[in-house]
Amino acid sequence: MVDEEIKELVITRLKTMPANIKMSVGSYGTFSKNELIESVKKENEVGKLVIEMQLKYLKSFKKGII
Amino acid sequence: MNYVLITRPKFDDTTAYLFSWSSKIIDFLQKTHFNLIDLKESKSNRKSVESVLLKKSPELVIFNGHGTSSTIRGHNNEILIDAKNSHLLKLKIIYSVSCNSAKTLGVKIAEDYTTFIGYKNEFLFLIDTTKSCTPEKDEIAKPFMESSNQLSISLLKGKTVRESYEDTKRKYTDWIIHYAANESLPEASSIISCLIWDRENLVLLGSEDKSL
Repeated sequence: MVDEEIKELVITRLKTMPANIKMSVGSYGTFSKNELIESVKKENEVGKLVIEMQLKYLKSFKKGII
Repeated sequence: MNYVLITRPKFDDTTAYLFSWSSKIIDFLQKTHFNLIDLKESKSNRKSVESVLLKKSPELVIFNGHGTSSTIRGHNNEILIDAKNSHLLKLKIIYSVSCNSAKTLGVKIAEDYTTFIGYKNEFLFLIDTTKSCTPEKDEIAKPFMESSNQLSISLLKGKTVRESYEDTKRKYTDWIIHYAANESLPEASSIISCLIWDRENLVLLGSEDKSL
């Protein structure tokens, strides 16, 4: 189970994604903003991956690896 | 004869983009002394790949398509490489633009005289849906294309695997910095987060000082 606050943070970040952009997630396919948000809410494989990716992004600021 | 083998299936959005990106590598390759073997679309199948590996023994093999931790896939997700035929890649430089293939398969293939470069997790990129019919004109996908292609370009320029890998990491970083400096762009944050992910998941396994 992913912490609800983390999910909320990731969803808030996904909402800033422009509507014309889709994400290619390998063999899972391509996903619109709303589909990514739904995946995060459901915590399916794509959702977990997006959460992990967003956390890595946020941690990169802290580590100064950008 | 020095051969380079490229596989590039094209049957969904992701493979259509990788197919298009590979065209840039092919354009560059045609200015070099290397001979191209382009297994595209339905030709990107196991039988053809095995035949080329056995008969032509290419120095560089560039796989585009889907993957898993134990397989590299081709047209309609046919398995091109797995544990049963991975010995055919011995002594070669392999660049696998396919998800997860560096996790288990790449580790198995890589050794003292064989190099495997690939992604140890999903390879992510962003698409502008208004440009998806013309991937080569998609500016949202461009940072991913340029970063991914850098590896092949550097190798074809004669750089070592280690140098090419570092060029590629640097290209990812250049694009991350570009969008960090332009963070007011609505797509900036999304692009940066995916670029960081891909940069961190690109790994170099096996021999690092080989070159073409």
